[in-house]
Order: sequence, then structure tokens, then C-alpha cells
Amino acid sequence: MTKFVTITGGAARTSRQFDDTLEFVVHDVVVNALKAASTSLDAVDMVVTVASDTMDGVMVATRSEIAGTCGRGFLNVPSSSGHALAAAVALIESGQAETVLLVGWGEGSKLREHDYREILANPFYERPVGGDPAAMAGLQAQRLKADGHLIEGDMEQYLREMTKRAGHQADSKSGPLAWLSPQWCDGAAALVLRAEESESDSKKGGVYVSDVGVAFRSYVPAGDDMDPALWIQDAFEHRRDEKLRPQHDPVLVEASATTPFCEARAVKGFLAKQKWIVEEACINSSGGGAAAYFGPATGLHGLVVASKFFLEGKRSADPAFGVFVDLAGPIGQAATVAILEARGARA
Amino acid sequence: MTVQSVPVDAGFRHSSGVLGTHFFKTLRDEKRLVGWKAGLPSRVVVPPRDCGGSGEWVDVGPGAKLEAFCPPEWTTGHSDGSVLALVKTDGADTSMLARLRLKGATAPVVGQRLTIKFAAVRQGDMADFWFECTEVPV
Amino acid sequence: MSGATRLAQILGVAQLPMRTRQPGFTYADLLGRIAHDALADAQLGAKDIDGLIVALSPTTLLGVDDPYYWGLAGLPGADRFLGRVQVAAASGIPALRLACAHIAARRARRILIVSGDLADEGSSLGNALGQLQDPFTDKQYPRNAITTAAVQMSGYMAANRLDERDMAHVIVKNRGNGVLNKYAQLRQPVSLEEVIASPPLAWPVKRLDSSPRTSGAAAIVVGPTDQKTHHRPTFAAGFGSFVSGRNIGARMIPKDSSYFDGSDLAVAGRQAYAMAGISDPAKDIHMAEVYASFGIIELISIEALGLAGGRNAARLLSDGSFTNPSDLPVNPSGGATCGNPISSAGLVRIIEVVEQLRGDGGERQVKRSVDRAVVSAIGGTFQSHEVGILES
Repeated sequence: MTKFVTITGGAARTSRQFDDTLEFVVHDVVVNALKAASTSLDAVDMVVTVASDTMDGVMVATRSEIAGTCGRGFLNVPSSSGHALAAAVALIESGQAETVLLVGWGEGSKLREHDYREILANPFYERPVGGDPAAMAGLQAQRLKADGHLIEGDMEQYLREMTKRAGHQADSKSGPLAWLSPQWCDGAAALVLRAEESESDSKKGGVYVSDVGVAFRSYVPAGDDMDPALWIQDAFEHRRDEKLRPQHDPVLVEASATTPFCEARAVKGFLAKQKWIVEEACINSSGGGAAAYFGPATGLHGLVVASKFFLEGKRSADPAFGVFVDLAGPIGQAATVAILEARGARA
Repeated sequence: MTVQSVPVDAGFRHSSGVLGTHFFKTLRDEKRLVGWKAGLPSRVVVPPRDCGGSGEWVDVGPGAKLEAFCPPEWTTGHSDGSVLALVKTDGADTSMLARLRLKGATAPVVGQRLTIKFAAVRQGDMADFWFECTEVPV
Repeated sequence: MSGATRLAQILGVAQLPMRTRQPGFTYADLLGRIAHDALADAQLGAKDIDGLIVALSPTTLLGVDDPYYWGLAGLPGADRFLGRVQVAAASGIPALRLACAHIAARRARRILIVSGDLADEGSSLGNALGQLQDPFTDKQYPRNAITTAAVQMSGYMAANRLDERDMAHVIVKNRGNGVLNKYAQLRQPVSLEEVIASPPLAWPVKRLDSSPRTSGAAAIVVGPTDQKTHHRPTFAAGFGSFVSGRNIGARMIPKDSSYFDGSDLAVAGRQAYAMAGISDPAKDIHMAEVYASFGIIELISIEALGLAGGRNAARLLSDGSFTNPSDLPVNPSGGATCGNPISSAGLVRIIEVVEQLRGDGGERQVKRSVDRAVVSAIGGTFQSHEVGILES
């Protein structure tokens, strides 16, 4: 029988630059996540990680013990927070794990000095023509602007607001170069996910992850397929229960993308398509991902904030849904949508 | 703070494969852009990639459509009067990245027609060709 | 005896013959070709696939980071890419585990898992992998897979009073098996004397104890247990996963675990056996494919997986056990000794077992009947231990 998945606690830290070594920061968020979930590492049987070997220069599989893997099962899904979340959910639902610790990290601050990501472009057809991620972002933004989906002034405003919410100082770039680029920082996040026997148990005990869907585009998508709002829509339609829609508008959205403009467009376009109305203050109260970006694990920060919102009961008595959106990759083309539900969410 | 310097030897010699080699040789020696037609249903992929099974080479271009480009002021890359462009060549089912040389101050427009141009002396790489606008945008 | 739980079914498999170089392919070409071949083996079309996973170990070998943005374009299931699994050389087994989880949870129906390696395009394998070691604790002394294996091998020899000749039998067995494997990179037999006389890499590990530098590709199509197939049905019945600490000293706890006796892999093995309802592996397992980039790892793995009945694997091997034919052949493919594409290594183990379970092993088909097999892999500098049980 399929189990149900509950998020029971989480913790995250982001900083323009950590003043401590990464291992200790990861240890710290893991300890705090377990504390928030009122559990201990002994109860965890599987650790799922998301982190970039290249960003930190140390292979995740050799240092996974910093995430608490020593003595337990391990799965490293470094492609995105959304993929790692989907993996954790599938492992629990299929009965292969009871309690999963989902951990991610990245020291993105070093990319402020040198953005090495041109090595994501292939050496034959992309690198020689200048097709690095920074230029791809510019290309994507131009197409969105041409299609009427991007207003430059709105992007500047979005970045200012998100930076304020993230509590970080903005990079020195100004104008389009600011909202076209990730705002690099250091970060680490951890969440505890647990199996429950029934959906109602899942909602009582924490935040129920009711569904997850993914979508993907390649490094060079088709010209008429550059809109991240459509990618999120695809991911939404790829959920297991694709026909099921939350009964009410979500009370919060936490979205993370690689660049501010991509994130802004994805959220606006997706909410409009769904005809959902969400208070502005409840969209990316964390500051989102792009304003404090630390690699593929960035989305976990927003997931922690979303979970805390439900776990600390800061919602009305009405059924409460939340939406988690993750857009990873050079232009956000690895898309994930997850629907979160809390107590009383469905009859 | 203790600092550990680590020299990294990061040189690579990448093979472009059977299909990529043919693509680049055709560019260099015959001044033609070709696509690989394969799969079920068949698609013309430019640049080529192996999707298993048999296929055939087909000419693509010389016309193309501009799908997107990176405005020069939005990047810190090339400054030679060309921009990174996403282009769909006539006859291809996929889009490709290429350089678009701009002539004059007029900004390109998505959807406008382009024409492929070849370098007089070609090396067998992506610098052997570029695109230029063929008409004034309406 | 059937497994307690069958999680998913292996519908199709494919691997490329392993070579040092694969200049005919880019990384994207490798994945495109192998995906096509796996679907052909499964007799499925691209539209039948609703999930895609890539097993990919460090990209420092490829020179392109996150190459799936390039490599997955146009592949079956790419629009529902479920993620990259990276547990170094062990990646293939947790990738299968993840696919089974998605299918058992009804989040996907048929998933394609792909992997590809181009190991010769950078200047040196050791240098590429060494880039991902901790600069403070690993780079100041030569700690890498070779020296780690050397520590294990010398400890194992001392603990069991074995000499270099005793340790060489596993390589002779594997190289002999590789002769019959059309996919193997190394297809010439070697003698005990040749193994012992080969140049030392880090004593007692010698060149012939170590796997070669290999490029290749592998893919698997995974589907629900009730899917009809034209092959003899093969199922994933159990998985185990266990991580130990990065530092050798952390894994030498008196009376608890030891770096030299495979205790860590044994934990993963017990989990997998429990999930598959196996109580006596020496009796219930009919063959094994264990990932062993060095001969010592195979010996430790045989013992840790309970296949040696509590006895010493090196001595059993020298008496002819674990060969083909025998009651429990180990690495009838020749193992990583005969070819080691790192990202694909785990999938290659799985594919070998599937072909053996189907009776499609050709010249290398094990002589006894095979209904249940174990696969294992160890990743990183021997921290991550993964085990899978497959059965018909």
C-alpha cells in the first residue's frame, strides 16, 4: 500500500558568505531540522542530498557524512531540489524508506568572482558561439520580452523586493545584468520527511506533500518554448493526480529559479494560467531563490520556509494549500511543482 | 586563514563523434550546413546527434528564422558586432545557437528572416558560418 | 522461493562494447544510441516512456558540467526527467532503486535509465577524480582509490595470512570470463604469474589488479511488475544502501565494524536480502555481479554478501569456487576487471544479471540455472555501499 509523505520540520541558513566552514553549517542545519521535527538522527533511515560537486570542488558522495549519512542509506540527486524532493517522496511512498532527511548545500559566493558555468555548454556547438548560461539567460529574457511577458522595470522592482526579503545585500551589478544573473550566496537547508499510513495522519502530523510533477527542457529549447511559466504548467500536468486541483487558491507560493526574471515570470504566468490569486506578500516570503542563489539546492530553502509557515500554524482554519516551484539549470529548464497541504485541507 | 592552492590540469581533447565530424567536415570542405534526419517519426536535427538507428544527411538553409537573441548590452561576452542567436534553419526541426552579425544600428526582431554566410577560409568549427538579416523587420 | 516484494520489472537492457576510447560518439550521441537500443530490446516506443533518470558519476572526466542538459535532448522520457543520480561508481544501483520507487509509488509507469562515459578525453583519470577530493585532508597525502584499495588489500592479506599468489586468483578468473564477454574491454586471459609480475601501482595493488580506464554506455528500461514482456520476466526484488564515514579510522570500531572485512557492505546486503525475503544467500543466490575496480573489493564483497558461507573468499577462489561453472558464479561478465566505465558500472552489473536470468548470456551463460542474483557496488573512496536483488 502506498504511504503518505509528511514534512515534519526543516531548517535553513543562507549568507552572502558563510563565516564558518561548510561542513559545520550543514551539520548545524541538519541538527536544527531534526530538532524542529522533534526527532533524532536515529529515526532517519535514508538521507537524500542535493549539492553540486563542481561548485564546492568536493564530491558529494565522499563527504555525505556531513549530512548525517553515516550508518544509514543514501541517495544523491544533485540535479535539482525538485528532483531530490520527488525522490524522497517516491522512496517513502513506495515503502523503501520511513524517515528521510533531505539535505542540500552550496557555496555559491565564489561564483561572484568567477562564474565558471561556461563549462555547462558543450564544447562543439555551444561554447564556440558564446552560448554560456549567462548569454542563454539574456537570450531567454529577450524572447520573453518580445512575447510581452517581461517588463524591465518590473524585473528591477522584483529583484529589489526579493533581495529585501532574503535579507541579503544585492550584488554590485545594476540594470538588466542584475536581474539576468543569479545573486550568488552560500546556503544550506535540511528537511525531515516521514511516512504516514493515511492522508489524514499526514496532514495532522505536518505538511502533506500531496503531489509532485516534473518537466524538462534541454540546454537549447525551441524558440517558441522558452517560457518558464509553460514549463511549470507542464510539470503541474505531469503530476500523478494530474486532474486533481486544490480546492482553494494557495495561501503561499515558494518559487526558486536560477535568475530573478525567470522566477518572476514563472510565478506570474503560472498563477495566471491557474487563475489562482495569492497575496503578494505570500509569494516568495523567503525572498525566492534567485535573490539568494546557492546552486541546485536553493529550492530547499523555500521549501523550509513554506513548511514552517504551515507547521507554525500561521494560516487560517480554512483548507490550506501551498505551492513549491523549482526551476533549476542554466535557464530554469528542470522544472518541479509540488503541492503542499495542511490540516483540514481536503474533506 | 590557511589557504591551500591546488593546480588543476583541465585540458580536454573532445571527439565530435561520427556525426559531428561529418557536420564539421561538410562545413569546412563543401561550405554546406547539413542536418541529420533520423528517428520515428523522423526529425532533422541540427547540429546532429545520434538517436540510434539509421538516418541520412540533408541540406538545411540557406534561409533561417530568428527565434531569439541576446542583446549585446545584456552580456559581457563577444564584442565583435555579433550577438548570440537562437536560429531555426529552413529544413531543420530543431533550433540551434549561432552568431548573428548585425549590420547597422537596427536591432533584430524575433521572427525575421536570416541568411547563412560562410567564412572564406573555414576550419571545420562553428566559426565557419554565421547568420545575417535578410530583410528590414516590419 | 519468490521475493517478498517485487518492486518493478526490467523490460529492456542495452550496453555498448566497452573500449578505452569511443571517438565515434559525443556524450549526447552515447545516450541517444544506448536509449534507442534499450527501447528496442524492450520492444517499446519513445511514447511508452514517462520518466528518465541519468546515472552520472563525476563530470570532471567529461569536461562538461551537468551534461544532461545537452545529453538528454530528444531522449524518450526527457520531458519528465526525474533527476541525476550521483553516487560515484555505485550510481547505477541507486538509479534503479529510484526508478523502482517512482514506479511502485505509481508516479511513473515506465522509466528509462541511461548512463555514458568518455574516460579518455581528459589528461588523466586520477587527476580528474582527484579534483574532487578534499584539498586539506586528501590532497596532502596520496589518498585515492588505488591507495585505499592497497590499504584494504594489505590488511586483508595480513588478517587472513594470504600472499600475493592467493590474491591473484580473482583476477585470473575474471580475465578468463572476459574472454567470453563480447562487451568486455579486456578479452585476453592472464596467468597468475603475469598478475604477480605486473608493475605495482601501490603495493600490494598491481596494474593487473586494477580495472582499466573505460568508455562506454548502458541503459535499462524499468516498468511495472504486471507488464507483459517477450523476455523471461526479471524483477527488482530488494535493495540495500549503507554509508560509512569518509576516513578509514572512523570505520575501525572494535567489535562493531572494520575497514577490512566488508562490514559496511554486509549491512546493505542484509537490508536487500530482507526486502527480497532471502534468509540464506549462499543457498538462495545463484550468481552475483559485484562491482570491483580492484580484486580485493571482489573478495571482500563475496564475503560481505554472505556468499562464502563464512569462509575466506580468496582461498575458495583458489580452489575453483565462484568460477563459471560453479555453484555460485561471481562476475561471469569478467567484472570491472575487464572494463570499468564508471557512471555505467552499476548498470552493467544489472544488465549482466538480467541477461543471465533471461538465458541470454551467450558464450558466457552460467552453467547452472539462475533464478535469483545479487548485484553490488561501492562508490566514492569506498564510503557508499549499494546492493540489489534481481530475480525471475
